[in-house]
Formats: sequence, C-alpha cells, structure tokens
Amino acid sequence: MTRLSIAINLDRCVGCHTCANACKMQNNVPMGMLWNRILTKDCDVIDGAVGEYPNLKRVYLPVQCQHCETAACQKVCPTGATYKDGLGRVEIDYGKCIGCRMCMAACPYNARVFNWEDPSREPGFDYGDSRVPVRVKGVAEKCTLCKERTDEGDLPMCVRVCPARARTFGDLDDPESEISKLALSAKAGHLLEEKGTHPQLFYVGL
Amino acid sequence: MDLTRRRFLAGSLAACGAAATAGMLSADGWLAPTKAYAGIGPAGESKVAYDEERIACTYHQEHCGGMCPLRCTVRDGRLVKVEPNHCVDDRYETICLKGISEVQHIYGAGRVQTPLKRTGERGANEFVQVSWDEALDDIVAKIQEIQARDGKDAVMVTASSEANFPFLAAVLGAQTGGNTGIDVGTGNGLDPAIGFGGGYAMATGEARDWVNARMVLTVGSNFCESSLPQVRLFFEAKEAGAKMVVVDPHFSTTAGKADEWVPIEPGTDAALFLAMTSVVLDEGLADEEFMRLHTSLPYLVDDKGALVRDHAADPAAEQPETGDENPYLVIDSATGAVAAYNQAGVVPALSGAAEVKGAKCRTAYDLLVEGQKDCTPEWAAGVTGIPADKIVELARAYAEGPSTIALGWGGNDKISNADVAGHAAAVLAGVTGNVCKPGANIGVFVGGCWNGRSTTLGAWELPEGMESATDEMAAYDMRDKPNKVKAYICCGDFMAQHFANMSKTEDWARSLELIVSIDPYFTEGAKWADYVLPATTRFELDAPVGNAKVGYNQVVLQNKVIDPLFESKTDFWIQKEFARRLGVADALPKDSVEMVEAQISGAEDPEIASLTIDRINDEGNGAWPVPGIEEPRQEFADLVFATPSGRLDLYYENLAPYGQALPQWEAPNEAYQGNPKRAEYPLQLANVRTRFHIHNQFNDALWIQQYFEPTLDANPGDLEARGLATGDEVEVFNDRGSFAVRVHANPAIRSGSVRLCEGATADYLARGNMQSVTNDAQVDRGSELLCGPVIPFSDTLVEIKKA
Amino acid sequence: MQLTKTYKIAFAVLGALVALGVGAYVSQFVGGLGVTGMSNGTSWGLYIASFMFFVGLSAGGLIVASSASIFHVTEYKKVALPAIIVSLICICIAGAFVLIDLGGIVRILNLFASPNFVSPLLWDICVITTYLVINLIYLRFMTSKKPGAKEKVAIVSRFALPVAILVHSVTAWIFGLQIAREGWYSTIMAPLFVASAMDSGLALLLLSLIWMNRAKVFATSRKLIANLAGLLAVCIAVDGYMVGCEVLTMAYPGTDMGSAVLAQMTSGATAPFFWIEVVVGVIVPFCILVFAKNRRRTGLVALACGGVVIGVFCKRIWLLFTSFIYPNVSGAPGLIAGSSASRGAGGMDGWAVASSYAPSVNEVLIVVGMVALGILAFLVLGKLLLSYDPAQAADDDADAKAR
Repeated sequence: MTRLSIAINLDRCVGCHTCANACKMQNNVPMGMLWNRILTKDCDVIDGAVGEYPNLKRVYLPVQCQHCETAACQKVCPTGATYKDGLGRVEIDYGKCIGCRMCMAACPYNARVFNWEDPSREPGFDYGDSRVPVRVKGVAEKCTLCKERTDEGDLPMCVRVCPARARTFGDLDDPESEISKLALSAKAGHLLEEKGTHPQLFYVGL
Repeated sequence: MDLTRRRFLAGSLAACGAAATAGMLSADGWLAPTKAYAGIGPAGESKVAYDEERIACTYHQEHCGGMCPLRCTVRDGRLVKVEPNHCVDDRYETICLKGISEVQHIYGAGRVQTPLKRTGERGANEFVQVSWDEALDDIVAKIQEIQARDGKDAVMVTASSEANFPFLAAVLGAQTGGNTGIDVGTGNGLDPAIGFGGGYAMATGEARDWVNARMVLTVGSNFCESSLPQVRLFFEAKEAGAKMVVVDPHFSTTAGKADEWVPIEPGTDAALFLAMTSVVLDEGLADEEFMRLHTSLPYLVDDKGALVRDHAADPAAEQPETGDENPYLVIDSATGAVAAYNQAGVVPALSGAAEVKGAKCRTAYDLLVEGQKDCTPEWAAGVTGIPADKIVELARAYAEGPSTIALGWGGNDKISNADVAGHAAAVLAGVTGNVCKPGANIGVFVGGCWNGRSTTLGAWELPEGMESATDEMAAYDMRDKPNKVKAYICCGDFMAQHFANMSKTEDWARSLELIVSIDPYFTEGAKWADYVLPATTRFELDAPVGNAKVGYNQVVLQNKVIDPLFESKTDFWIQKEFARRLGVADALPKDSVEMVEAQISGAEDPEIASLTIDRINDEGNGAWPVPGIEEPRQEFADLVFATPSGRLDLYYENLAPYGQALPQWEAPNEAYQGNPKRAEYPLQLANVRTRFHIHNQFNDALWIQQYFEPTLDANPGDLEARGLATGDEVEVFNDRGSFAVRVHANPAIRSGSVRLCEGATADYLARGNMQSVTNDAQVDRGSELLCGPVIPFSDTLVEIKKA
Repeated sequence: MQLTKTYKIAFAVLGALVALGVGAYVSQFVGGLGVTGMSNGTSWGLYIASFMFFVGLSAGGLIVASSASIFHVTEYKKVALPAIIVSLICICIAGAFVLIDLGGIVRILNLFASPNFVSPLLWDICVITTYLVINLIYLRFMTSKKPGAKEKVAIVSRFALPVAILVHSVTAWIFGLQIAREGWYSTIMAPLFVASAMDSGLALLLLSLIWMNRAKVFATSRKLIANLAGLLAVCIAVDGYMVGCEVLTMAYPGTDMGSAVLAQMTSGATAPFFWIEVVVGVIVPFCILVFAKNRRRTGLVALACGGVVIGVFCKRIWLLFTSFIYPNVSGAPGLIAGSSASRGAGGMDGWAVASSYAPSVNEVLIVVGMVALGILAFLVLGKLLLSYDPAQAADDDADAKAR
C-alpha cells in the first residue's frame, strides 16, 4: 500500500504563506479561495500572539486537506465524487460533484472551498499546471496533494517551495521514508486527533 | 478529459522547440489518458486549452537580497507559473510568496500602461495618455533647456536597486543623488572598524556559518521575514545547537522562532551592547590576546583624542596613510617604551600612559574602560528595559563564543543613534574576539546575494567623458539646502520611499521644473511627476537577455520570459532612446544582449568570464555557481582587516570632536522615554520590514493582499486606553503630518510603540502617507559618518485617535 | 372549481410570489450559489434550515393519519385526509429545498449513477422519496371510492409510521453524525428531530384545520381539535425536555468549543432564535395547552400552534448555524469566504475568524416563493379533495357535551 502524505514542522514554519500562494498558482485556484491557509494559531489578527507582552507564544499553523484515513468528507459524499485513491490521497471527481456541500459540513478542518459562482481569476486566465482540471461553478475543491505532480513523482508544490523547508513529503507506508521516521518522533501530532478522522498529514511540534 | 478541447497542434511543438529543450512538460505527461470518470450531466471539470507552453529562466528581486533563480512557465505568451529553478544545490532553489505573486502582479491594475503626462497640479494625480515619442521628445527638450541654462548637473537621476539604468545619468551628465540615508545607520558605526560592509553593515561571513556558533545574537533584525529565501539557515543553525537569541522591541516572527526573545526598548540597542561590553571587561571575559594583536585598542591616543602615529599626516595627502606607511604607536608591554604597533617583537600593552611628543597619551583601551564605567548593566536596564541579570547572562554567553551578532536594517538602524549601536557592537565583538572566526561573525546577514560569495561582473564602458556629474549633496538635503537641481528623473518611487517628513518632500517637488517617474508600477512618487513612463517588469524583455547579476552564490541571467506588456518598454530601450535624442546612441551597447556579454566577459573571475549566455542557459538553467561556494564565504579569516592599520579599528578618531571616538550612549533624537514631546505624542512609530512587501513593492499584488494589508499594530492596552479596537480606522498624527489606517490589537507589540510596515502609501492606507509623520532629523556628526547620516524613519513619535 | 374573490386575490398574490421565487432561482441557477449569503465558513444556509423545517412539518399529518389506522384512533380518521394533504405538500417542499441548495444540480444524475450508500444525504434522499411515495399512495387510497381502499389504507399506514419516524431520524443524522460540528454531533439529534417534527407538524395541522373550519373548507369538531391540542402539549414537553438534555450535555463538561457554541446560542449571534424557541416555541404554548380549558378555545390553540411553528423554525436556525460560527481549528485570518464577488470583499476583508451569515434577498425570495407554492397547493388540493360538512362536526361536539 501507499499512503502519500506531508509532514509540516511547525518549529520551522514562519507563516510566510509561500505554500499558500504556490498552491494557488499550481492548482489554478480562483480568487477568494485557497486550498492551503496559514493560521496564526488561536489569534484574531494575523501575526498576532497568544499571551500578554512579554510572555508570548506564536504558532503558525498551515491548514489544508489532511487526507484522512477515515475521511469524513468521503463518507458523506452522496455521489462518491470524493474518493480515497490508491495512493492514499483524498481526491474529488469534479464531474460527479453535485454541489451539496455535505463534505464541507463534515470536514472538521474546513479544508474545502466551494465554487459559489463562476470562478474569477486574477490574472484573468488559467494559470498554473495545465494538467490540473479547471473547475466550474457548483463544485467543491481542496488540496489534491498536487495529484498531477505526485502522480509523476514530483513533490507537491507547497513542499517544493517552502523557504524554511518545513515540509516533508513521502509515503507513510514506506518504513524507510523520511516522513515515516518523522511520524514516529515524539513531537509528531495530528490536528484534531480527537475527531477520529486519522489524518495522514501530520505536524511536528503541534 | 476531452482532447479536442485542447487546441494543441503538432506544429507548435516544433515552433517552441528551443524552449522545449529547457525541460518542457513531457508529451507523456499531458497526452497520457486520464482516468475515465462516470460524469453524468455537464462535466464539472475541463482542461486548460492552449497552443504553446515553454519554460524560461530568470531571477527575482535583488531588493530583498534573495534574487531567487526562477523557472517560469509561459503558456500562450502569458506567465502562468513561477517555480524555483534547478540549481547546483537545493539551498539555492528558493522562492517566496512575492515571487509567486508575480503571476498576477505583472498583469495587475497597478501597472502603468502607457506614458502619462501631467495635466493638473503636481501631486493632484491628473494625467493624460501620450505617446512615447511625445513624452521622450518633451522630456529631452526640457532637460536640454535646463542644462543649457543651469549646467548639466541641474539634472538628477536616481535609480532604485530593481531599476536597471546604468547609463542614463552618464548620458545626461546628471547628478545621482549622493548618500541615501537608508540602511546605513548601523553600518556607519560598524563598518569603519572592519573596513568592510560598505556602510551597510554587511556581515563578515555567510549565515551558513551560523551552524558553527554557540550563540547567534540577533539584534534589530527580523531575519525570518527579511531574508525569507535564506530562512532555512536560521533553522539549520538552531537545530545544530546554536542558541538563537533575538533582541527586539516586538515579538517579531524571528523572535517567535528563536530559543529566546529579549524584549528591548526601541532605539536602545547601543545601551545593551555597551553594558555587555562592561560586563565582559569587568568580569575578565575579554579576549586580551585578540585585543592586543588584532584591534586598535592598544593604540595611543593623545589628549585631543587623536591617534598618535609615527609622523604627522600630510593634510594635503589624497589617501590616508596606511599603518605600514605611518605606524600607530603603542606601549611595548615588555619594555614599557613607546613603539610602533607593527615593530617586530613588540607586544602592545592594553593599558598604560605615555608622553609622546609632549602630549599626554593613553591607550584607547584605557579610554574604553573609563568610558564604560557608567555603562553598567543596572544603568542599561533602566535604558533598555532588559533586566540587569539578563544583560549579564547575555554578555557571559556571548563572550564564551563562538558567537555571532546578526544585525539588520529594519530596527535600530532607522533611529538617529544607529551608528552608535553599530560601533558598540563592533567594540563588543572586538573585546571578545568574536570576529571573523568560524561561528563568530558580525553584521547584517539578511539577503543571500549580499552574503554569499561575490564576484564582480564587468560593465559596458562608456566613452571617455561620458559620466555622471559630481553629487553636490545627498538628495534628501536638497529639500533644505540651496542646490542646482531643477530636473529629477526617478527610476523608482523616490518621493515617498526615500525621504522622511513628506510635506518637505512635497514642497521640494513643487519647486522643481521637471520630474519624471520611470517605473513598471504607478507609485506615490508617480503622482508628483510631470511624465510617468511605463517600464517593463523583470519578466518582460524585447531581447533574449536583459541583465546579469550576482545572486546568492551564483551568477544569474535575466532571460526574456514574455514580451513587454501594454506599452511598457525596457529600461535599456528607454536609456537608448534618451541617448538617441541626445545624439549619443552609439555610446551604448546595441542591445541588452551586448551589454550582458560585456558584463560576463569582463567578470573578475576567469571561470565566469569564460562563460557565454548560451552556456549559462543551456548548462545552468540561467544560473551559474560562483566558484568556491561549497564553503561559506568568510572574510578576514586571517584576522587582517581592511582598515588602515589592518586591525579591527575600534577607535574612530574623526568622531573625537563629537565624543564618539569610542561609542558613548546617545538617546534617540525623538523616540526616547522622557522626551517632553511624549506628552503630546506618546507612541513611537516603528517602520519595519515585512515578508509581504519589499518597501513599497507588491503593495498592489492581489495575491499578497490576500494575506496582508497595512495595519497599525498596537499593544491591546494602548488601544483600550484610547477606546480603540481591532479594525477601527485611526488617524496617526504628529506635528509633521498625519495619515489614517486600520488598527490591530496585537500583544506582540511593545506598549508605547506602534508598528506599521514599510511602504505604506496613500493608495493602500485609509488616507495619506506614512511618510508624512516620519522624522528627518540628522545627527551633528552626520557628515563625518561613512555614508552620511541615516534617516531616522522610526525615530518618530505619534499619537493615534479614532479617524 | 368555483372561486370566491378572496380566493382569486390569494391565488394572484401567491402566484406572484411563486413567480418571484422562480425568477430568483433562475438567477441562482445562472449565477451560482454566490447569489446567496452562504460562504465557505457557513456553507449551508436558509435552504437547508427550511429543508429541516419542512421535513418536520410534514410529520404531523402522516403520523396523525397513520395512527388513526394503526392504533384505531377513529377520531383521527376524520382528519386523515387534510392531514395527508398537509404532509404531502410539506415533504414536496422539503425535497425541493434540497434540490434548490445543490450547486451542481446539472450533475444530479450522478446520484443514481454512482450512489454512495454510506452518505446520510443519500439515505435521506431515499427515505424522503419513499415517504413521498407513501404519501401519494395514501392519498390515492383515501380518495379512492373503490371497494377495499380502506383496508389498503390500513396496510399503507403500517409502513407510513416507521417511514415517518425514519425520515426525521435520517434528516437528523445528516447533522448528528458529523463529528466536525460540536452543536450537531449528538445521539439525541434523531429523537429530537422526531419530537420537533411531531410538535411542529401537529401544530401546522391544527392551524390548517382551524383555518379550514373558519374558511368553510373542511369542518373539524372542537373536540377533535382539543384532543389534538392535548397531544401537541405532550409533544412540546418532550421536545423541550430533549433540548434541555442536549444543552446540559453540551454545557456541563465546559469544553472550549462546547462553551463557545453555547455562548453564541445563549447570548451571541443565534441567541434570539434560541430564546424565541424556548419561550415562544416551548414554554408559552405548553403553558397554554396544558390546561384542558384552554384547549377548547380555538383562538388560544391557534396562538399556541403558531408559537410552536415559529419556535421550531427558530430551532432549525440556531441548530444549523451555531455550529458553523467557530472553525475547529482557530486562528487568524480564519476562513476565506469563497468567491470575492459573492461576498463583496477583496483582500483581507474576504476572511473571517468567526463565520457569519445573513440570507440574501435572492434566498429569501426563493424561500418565500416555496412557501407561497405550498399554500397555493394546499388551497388547490383543499378545494379539489375536501368537502365541508359542519353537521358531522357539530354532532361530535354535541355527543361530547352530552357525555
């Protein structure tokens, strides 16, 4: 089996949003949407901090599809448009999506975005990888783990660009891979573990 | 997938054959049958239809020092993807959110699309479109008129680092603006000691060397934002066990990533360094051997504060004499006699007094110790707000070494006393010997291209006599002092970015006869121009190659990615058109390719000089490693410095009249605690760098605007006291001016300070320009400093109220 | 069909509202769900709330009608036909709201081509369809003059009751099985939905009967109305009790998210709806209907029923939206709204740390249009299928008095 995944080292993440922009570019993500958001954790302003000066803490938390093993979105999808593929990725067959947004209600991570209307792009043309399907209004979309790139053995774009090299991509089922070693480290943790969705993505230093 | 949707023609493959060799998507990739899906009803997806796709390599901003080598995908003539290029080492394969945002930014509404001519008052922002010919003819005629009347140097040309105008000032015989007053604060104080850094406090080694340090003391630098492409070096060092300590008034991104954050009162970095030096000296932690052999501390200083030398200097001499030519005098520790510092067998005494030529002399070391007497940790605690024992702890850890001091340009560098801080840092490094050894460097480490191994490229030679004029004064001084300049060509936003106290700049702009703005984007400065000329961005060229530069440890080429957009023209074309109208077109290269060839063939390094454009592109994807980059750059590893004496010159004789021959605490010009002005304007306005912008650049990038808008971040307590809350629009004001902006309550901000990122101009604020309130005061010793006084942008007090 | 002037005016007004609703839907079909107030944060809105509401409303009718057959409550048999009409109309409207809410309705056939039977939404679609069919069959047999129809009604009833219970449970499971949403994820959700359905459905049925009495469309005895009102009082009590259980369970552990959701419910964005439900939907109607004397006063019964219907609608609102406010993973800048055009916000204004929602004019028009369509259908079916027979009702009441 193969379970592709990304590990994000929060000790290294500087919250620069490079991955968010790279994902937007690669996947032709329209304006008003992102597949990958960087949160300043538990703050109400970006680059804020938790605590009172000078006793402060700040964690940048990139949030994208967690490619759960028990994917809530996949279970609830009435048409099977959302599916778990052979490489362990949660994918969407846009042609089957009827736009019910059950998946959005079911995803504990708010990882999905919806084409509420005809996608608007700035610049006004399709950017990014031409292999990525162009979505129409009325379908949900989210991180595909850069399906088109990882299919060919390339790194997901967010991993490729990360200036802090905070992201590690690999196969959790390959015991020799860097990522499966990282997964065993004491600092590895999952987002909202208590939800029982068994995310494949994990964080170091969560 | 629907193959007929794709208008991909077999012929177009051949048409882009050359580019395709650069690694175009393999045919397998896009022709492979995609998974069949059971889509019923109109498909929820389609494929991007296109005729042609190719790859082009170039580089990104020099302005941040990243100069990331980029691999750009162009589809149907449009930039659709920007990725890190393939380089010799993964660490050079960098990019950040700004580079990626160019996919939108270069097509954005912020571009100047055609030449514009002013119709309303200056600054009223009223223009009509004109042709290039009309604009250039008018501009040249006006310049010729002014120059005939007032001389050639009545014209000034300034270009920011992103603009590529090597010829314009020379062609016009114009002035070039002189000292900039920006980023030179700390360097003014640090660089004379080492004889390196050019006034910008460039570090003596690369940040790659941090892994060798036991402690990296970052003071006044937000490395993790300002040097995003190199940010991994911070973590490599941290993970290698270097203790990362960040001293910053605010809980910056870098502070948040450090092992320890030491909050400090803004503008008091010098006090911290001075007190640490006191601890080092008092506790016997100093490296005496280093001080004796590698610094100027044993030199004798006379009662007037001058260094005592072998013979009196010739006041008419063009160059100051080196230590070899005119040795400094020291006391020989063995004999107690006065001797030349470089005399064989002499081991200089650090401490002592002697009479030389009738003058009572003491060693610089003794003066230092005496001067440091009052700079106790307890005193510094009062100034900096850092507890005295924390200062002692830092001093001990720093002295233990190897330790590095990482400075920056966005903090104390923008306070009037920045040179004192730089000087004090040099002294601290000097007394502990933490200089130019593995893990022990000092300076600003921001910006890969300034920190890596440098090599000098050649330059196109202009004919004899075709040169820019001598600068009368710094451009910022022209606002106050009588000068000759009547016409000003700005290649970049000088009006709003380079000068503080904007109303003064506006008055000056109104007094000029001609202002021309050349920029891809319509900036605040453009509003003050008579003509606004649309330049291309780095991605657009009318020739295969536009420029060559030295990036981070590699030579990078600006290859053409796309054709010029709108009616924009390249910097090269614009210069050539100026030259043609002045009848000197032949003096310039025939095109930018010829210029780049001259740059490469004239390179200092023989390996680089032997390269060709094609070879750099074919074998190196447009980026060629500078020889020797396997090892991090390390300046002065032999501890022979580029100063007149070859030692670390910590004693600044020329500043003796100002009492700053050795660093003495001096409060900021305005933003000090206890300034009576604080009664009216209690808040310091910090003007800091951000990962979202480079100064004013990317203000208009929509993909950046997704995450960032200029906000005034303030401590929640300071906002509550004024009845303000996150999201409120406030007026920020002082006696110089005002502007309006939204506030964020952010506990990361030190109480008594408010923080706004650089480059906040009227189009991106609720009202007005940040620069309307900034301080443009100059220190008295300014003219004696290496690069002239720094503009103390952050040495500014303001008050805020609900707008 | 002879129509009075009042009917004509009513038809015209309702027809106009329906037309407006259709126009609004066409605009939504063309422009996408961007014309609604929904966003990536609050990804379900008034349509889904209305769906829940109408599924519930349809319950009362069928439950009353089928109880009549199954438990041989002969009294109820008298109102079985109007009850089924109300039930049928409400379930049609409920189903329509699901379709209206689909952003990709053009791809709807995928439901049949590649159904995922693990999806509660698919269960719901199946159960609602079954329920609709049962309603139709029921109606067919009830209005049939053929011999043996009565027996068939009895047989259908045996299926109708469990399906009615199931339809509310499955609707509840769309929400109650989602661990992602603090305020939804609860075992009590299905019983609560059944209770809500019982009380709001009964209340609607009572309102219909009372109106039909007045409008001389269909006569119901005061005794039967009082009887049904008594049943309603029990349902209200059960509903109120379950809400109480749920709120206590959410509040007691004091978890971060539980407290945050509760704070929004009791004093935040959805508080008005919560308190209206508690006061107008539970306390007041129960206090009215608990007294037998009040149950015989038609005006008071109508008032209580109105309160229950409004209260249950408010409950749908707070139940749905409170759980959308706070994302589980908190931090700035929060959630990105969706299309910048739909929210009228670019740059940082497109984000929200806490999600908010207000229905757009378009959404309101569609919902109003659907309600108008329901009333219209009710008027038409009432005219076609029901007959006014006050004598029988009067006899009943006389009997009751005599006893």
